[in-house]
Amino acid sequence: MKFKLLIDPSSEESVTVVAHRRSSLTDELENTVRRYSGENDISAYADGEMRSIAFSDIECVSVSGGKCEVIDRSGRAYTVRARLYEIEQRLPRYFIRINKSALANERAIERFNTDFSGGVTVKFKCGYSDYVSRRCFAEIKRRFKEK
Amino acid sequence: MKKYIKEFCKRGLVAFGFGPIIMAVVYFALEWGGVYDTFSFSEVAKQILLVSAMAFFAAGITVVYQIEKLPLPIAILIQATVLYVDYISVYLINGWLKNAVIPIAIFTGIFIVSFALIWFIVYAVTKRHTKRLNERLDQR
Repeated sequence: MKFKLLIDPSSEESVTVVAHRRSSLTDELENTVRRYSGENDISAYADGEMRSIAFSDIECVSVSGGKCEVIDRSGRAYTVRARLYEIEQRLPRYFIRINKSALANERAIERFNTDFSGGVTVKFKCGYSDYVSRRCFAEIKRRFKEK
Repeated sequence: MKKYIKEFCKRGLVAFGFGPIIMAVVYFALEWGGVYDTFSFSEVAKQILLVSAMAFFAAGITVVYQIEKLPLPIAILIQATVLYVDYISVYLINGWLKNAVIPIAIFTGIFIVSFALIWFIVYAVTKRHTKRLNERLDQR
């Protein structure tokens, strides 16, 4: 892999990575750039307190009772004042949609389970679990096949 | 809801056109089985229309799998119920099934076994996919 650095004070600063596929290196580069730009966390609320949660600490984002919630590594849920699609746009690529109302941190997935009914659920490291819709399951399979 | 009704009709109409083909297969099967009968024009027309309607409902009801909010077991139950009612009514009206306890019980048994078999295949395929995904997770 080649490394190119273009110094041009007149242009907008950006980092572009050309790779054959996503890897731990591309994820790490994305994290570093986001951290540097101050785009690596989200403001969330619980018990009237505001907390800044790093993207890497989020295991799942889901809509519950019409409100968006992020679930952190300890399994604690925080309310986020944004819509799911807005959060999805901000999150790094290692977040994947698992159903119409939830996004999962790929790295926080512990196991996929098949229900007796033929449905699929995903269990996170924090113990939280959610269902995988049939439509999203196809995309998840494709993503994991690429790796 | 409106979206799903529209989709139901769309899927159903696609299958509706296959009614005469299904009937042709049934007539061939009857001949192959040595069952010879004479039908009047109106009888044949009635059978074709009923089978077309049966195909319409059987195809249309697959829309339940598009409704993400609906838990999968409920979707399966809805589809199975609609198919059962759809098939048995057409079979009884067309006279393909005797309106008696034993033939209906045999039909019901075959329906349940066939549906369970198809669902077991779907379950086995999904299980294999999740196993592969878990293997990928373990490799990380």
